[in-house]
Amino acid sequence: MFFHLTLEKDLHIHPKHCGPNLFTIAQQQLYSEVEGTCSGRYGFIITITSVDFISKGKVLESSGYVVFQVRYKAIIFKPFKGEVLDAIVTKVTNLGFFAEAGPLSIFVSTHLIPSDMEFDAQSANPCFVSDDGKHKISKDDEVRLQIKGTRVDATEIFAIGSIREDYLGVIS
Amino acid sequence: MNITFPFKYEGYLEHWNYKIGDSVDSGDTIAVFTLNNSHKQQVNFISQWDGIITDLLIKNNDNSIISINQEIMKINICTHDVQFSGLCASCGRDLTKKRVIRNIVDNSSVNNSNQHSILHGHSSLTVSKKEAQRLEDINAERLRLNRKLSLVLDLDHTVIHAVTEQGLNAVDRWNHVDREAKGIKKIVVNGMMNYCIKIRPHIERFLQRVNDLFELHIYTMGTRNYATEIAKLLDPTQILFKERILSRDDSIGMNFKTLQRLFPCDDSMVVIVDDRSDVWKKSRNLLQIAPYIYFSDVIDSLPHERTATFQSRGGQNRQASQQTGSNSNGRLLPDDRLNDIKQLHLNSGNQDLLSKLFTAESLAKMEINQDLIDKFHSLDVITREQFTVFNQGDFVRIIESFYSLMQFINNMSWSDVQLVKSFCNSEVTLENMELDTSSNQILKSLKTLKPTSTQVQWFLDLLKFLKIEILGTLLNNRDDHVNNVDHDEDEGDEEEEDNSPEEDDHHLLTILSKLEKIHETFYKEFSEHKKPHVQNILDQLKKEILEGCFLVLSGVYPLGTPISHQPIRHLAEEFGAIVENDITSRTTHVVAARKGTTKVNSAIDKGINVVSSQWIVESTRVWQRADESFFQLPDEPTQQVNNDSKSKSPPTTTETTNSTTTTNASTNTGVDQMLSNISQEALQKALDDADKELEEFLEDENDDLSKDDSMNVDNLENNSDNDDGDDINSYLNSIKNNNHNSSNNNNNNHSSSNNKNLKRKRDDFDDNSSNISSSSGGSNSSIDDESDGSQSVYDSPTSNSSSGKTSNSDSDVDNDLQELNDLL
Repeated sequence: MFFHLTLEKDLHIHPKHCGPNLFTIAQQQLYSEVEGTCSGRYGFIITITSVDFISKGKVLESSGYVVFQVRYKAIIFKPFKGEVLDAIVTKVTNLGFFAEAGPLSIFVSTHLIPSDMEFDAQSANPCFVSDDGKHKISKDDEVRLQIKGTRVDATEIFAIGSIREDYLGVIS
Repeated sequence: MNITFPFKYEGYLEHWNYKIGDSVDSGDTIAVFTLNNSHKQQVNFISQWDGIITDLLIKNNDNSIISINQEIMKINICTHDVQFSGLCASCGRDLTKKRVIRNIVDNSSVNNSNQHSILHGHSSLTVSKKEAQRLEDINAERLRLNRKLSLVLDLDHTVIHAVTEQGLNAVDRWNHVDREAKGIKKIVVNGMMNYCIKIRPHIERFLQRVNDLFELHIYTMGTRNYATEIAKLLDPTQILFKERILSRDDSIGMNFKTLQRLFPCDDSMVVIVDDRSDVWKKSRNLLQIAPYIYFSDVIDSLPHERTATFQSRGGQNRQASQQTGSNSNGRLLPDDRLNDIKQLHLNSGNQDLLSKLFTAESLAKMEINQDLIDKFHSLDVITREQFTVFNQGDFVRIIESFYSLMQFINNMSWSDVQLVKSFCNSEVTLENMELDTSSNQILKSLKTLKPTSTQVQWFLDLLKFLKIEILGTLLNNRDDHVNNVDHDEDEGDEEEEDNSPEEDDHHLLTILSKLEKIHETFYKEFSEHKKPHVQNILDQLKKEILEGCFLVLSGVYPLGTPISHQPIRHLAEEFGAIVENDITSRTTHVVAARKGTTKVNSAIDKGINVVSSQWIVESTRVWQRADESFFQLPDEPTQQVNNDSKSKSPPTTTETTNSTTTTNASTNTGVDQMLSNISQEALQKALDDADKELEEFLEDENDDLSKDDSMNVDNLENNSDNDDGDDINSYLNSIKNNNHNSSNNNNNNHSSSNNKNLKRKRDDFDDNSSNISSSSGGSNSSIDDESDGSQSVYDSPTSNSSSGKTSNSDSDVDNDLQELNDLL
C-alpha cells in the first residue's frame, strides 16, 4: 500500500558545502540518502514529493559537520498481509516462483499456486502450466497475487504471495 | 491433526478463543478449561502449533466433563516446510520473530538446522528435510525416467582456466600471442573485471556426450556473475546448465563444497567432477580430474581466491613480525613453518636479501602460493602427491627456479646445491629423467659461486618455503610447461616440450569414458532391481585401475610408520592394489623410494617390476595403470650402495649429497663425478664462508662475548655429546676427516655446529616428508666415502685460500658461534 507521509531526518552536511548553495545541496543530499531506501518502520521510501522545512544548521564541534533537521513528504510503499499486488515474475523454480513488485521481492510457493498448475521441468524455459495448458507462468510474466505474510528486516522486506484465490494469477 | 485433552485431570470447557477457520500461532491461548481437581483450577490451553483450526469438537456452552485424552479439536498444522527469508512460504508466518517462543515450546519442526537450501540460485529459500526428500524423490524419478544421473561440475581448473586480463598482460610472452587463434576467450564480469578464459580441450564433446547421460550442474567458488558468464561461454544456448548454477554467492561456506547443498538427502545418483578433492572433504562421489592449467606463467590468482589469499598473507606476515623474538626449535607444526622461516629471515638481518627476493614479482607469486601453502598443508598427503607428478619440463622448471634463487643467494656451493636438490628430489620423487644438460648448466654456473653453510641453511629454509611455490609452479605447468624458459639452458630439452602441450590434455575424455561407464553400470544395476549407488560404482571403478597388483612398499615409509600414516598405501588400496609387507610369489610391483634396499634387490633378482611411488600417483591421475617403464627408480652408483655397514644406519638421518647423486646419476655420470669432486671442495668452502655468514647473521643480535678457542672446542664436544644419533657423529667425523689436513680446529667447530644446524633443519624436513628420510639412508656413507677419497681435492689451492681467509675472521665467528649454540 502506498502512503504519503511526512517524515523527518537529521541531515549531516559536510562543512565544504557551507556556501551559497547550501540548501540546494542539502536537498540533493536528502534525496540521495533517502529515496530508494527501506526503513523497517515505514517501508520503502519511493520518492520525496516535497521538502517542507529545513531547520537552522548546527555545527558539530567534533567533526565540523552541520546538522539540519529536515521535514519532508514522501511516497512510501509498504506491503501488508492480505493486500493484492501486481508483480513481475523473476524466476521460476520447482518450489514456486519469485516475483517482484517494485522493490519488494515476493515468493509464491507451490502450496499457494492453484493445484491444477504444475511445474514443468522439461521445457527450456521453466514455468508453471495449468492442466489444460491455457495458463502458464514463466519468467517476466505479470501476476496478480495476494500477500500472505511479510517480514520486515532493517533494510529489506520479504513477502510470501499467493495466487490460490479467485481472480489471482497471470494478468493477460 | 486431532488434538486431545492435554491435562492430567478431567475438566470442562470455559470458552474457546478461536472459531473454526481461524488461524492460530504457537503460544496463543486457544481455550480456557476448568480442571475438575480439588480447587477447580482454570487453565489455559496454549497452542504448540501454527495452523488453522478445522474443527472444534466441543461446543462453547457445553459444560460436560471432558475426560483425559478425549479429542477436543482438529487443526491443520503448517510445518513450514518451505521457508523464504524467514517466512513460511505456505502460511506466510514470520518465523524469525517467533524463534524465542518456539524455543520454549520446543517445536522441533522449525529448527533451522533442519532447513536445507536446495535451489541453485536462492539460498534464502530453504526447505525442511522432509520436503527436500520429497522433491528429491520427484527429481530422482524424473532422472530415472530419462535414464540420467546428476553431474556436478566444477569450473576453474576443471573445464576452464581463467586469469585476469591484467595478469595476462603482465606476462610479456602473452602479449605476442594471438589470443584468438589460441582460443583464449575474454569475458567481462560486473562491467569491470576482464578475464581471459581458456577452455579445456575436448570440452564440447565432453559436454555434449555428458548431457545425454547426465543432468549438468555447475558448482563453483566463483561469483554468480562470473559463473554465469562462463556458463554462457561453455554453453551459448544455455541448454546444458539452464539455471543449475551454484556459485559462491549461494554457497554455505567459502572453503568447501558439499553435495548437501544441492542434494541434502540422496547422493546416490550424483557424480562430482572436480580437480580438487580437499574442498569436497573426500566425498566418495568425486571423480577427480587432473587440474587444467593453461596460463602457467601468468602470475594471477582467481578472482575468488584473491581476497582470501591476501588476507591470509597479511595475517601471516603480521604474525611473523610479531614473533621475531624467539627461534623456536624442535618440531614445528606445518602451519608454523612459514612463520618460522620468515622469522628466520628477520632474525638473520638478511632483510636486504629478503627484500630482493620478495620483490613485487615473487610477492605476487606468493600471493597465489600462500594460498597454495594453506591448501598444501590442509591437504591430505594423497592430494599432495598430485603435485609431484612431474615430467622433464617441470624439472627444468625446478632447476630454473633454483637457478634464479641462486642468483639471489649467490654464495652457494655445489654440495649445498646438492643438498638442496636432494631435498627437493626426495620430496618430489622425480621420475627417471634426462637431466644432463640442465644440470650441466647449473653446475657450470655454480662452479663460479661461493658456498656458505649458513646461507645454504637459509636457502634450505627458504626452499622449504619455496618448495611449495615450486610445486605450485609445477602444478601450473603440468599441462602447459616450459614454453618460455628464458635462461640459457639447453634448448633441446625444451623444444620437446614446446609441441603445443596445451592441446595434449585428454583428461576430459578420460573422465568422459569413466562417466559413461558409471552411467552404464548404474542403469544396468538399476534394471536388475538393485539399488545402485554412484559411490559404490566409483569405488569399483577405482579398484579396477590397479586391480591385480600386489605391491610391496620399500623405503617409502620409515619402518614402524603406522598404516594410517601411509597415504601412498591408502591410495594404492583405494585403487584396488593389494599392499603386502614382504615379497611373495604373487608380488607384481615393488614400490620403492630408492634402490639398494633388500626388497628392491630381491625384486630385481626375481624380475619383479620396481617402480617409484609416483607410479601409483600417476596411475590414479590418469585413471589407468601407468607404464611402469617411465617410473623406474633412478640408478644409484654401486660403490655407494655397497659401501659399508654404516649405510644401514637409521633412515632418519641427514640427507646429503647422495640422494641427489642418485637421482642424477642415471643421467650423467660425468656430472656425478664432477659433483663429488666439487662437493668436497665446496664443503670446505661452505664451512669457511659459513663463518662469515654467521657473523652477518648474528650481527644484529649481540656484539659482546668474546670467547677463546677452547670454548669452542668445548662447544663442539657438547654438541657432539648432546647428539645421540650415530648419524650426526659420523657426519661430524666425516667433516673432521675432511678438515684434518687444514689443521684448522676452529673450522671443525664451525663445520660441526653448522652442520648440526643443518641437520636440525633437515630433520624438520624429515618431518615434512617421509620420502626424504627414506631416500637418505645411504647418505652418511657417501660423505665418509667422499671425504676419505678426495683428500687431494681438498688440498687444492682454492680450498687452502678459502680456509686462510676464514682464519682471519675466526675470533669474530667464534663469538657468533657461541651465540648460535646458545640459540640452539
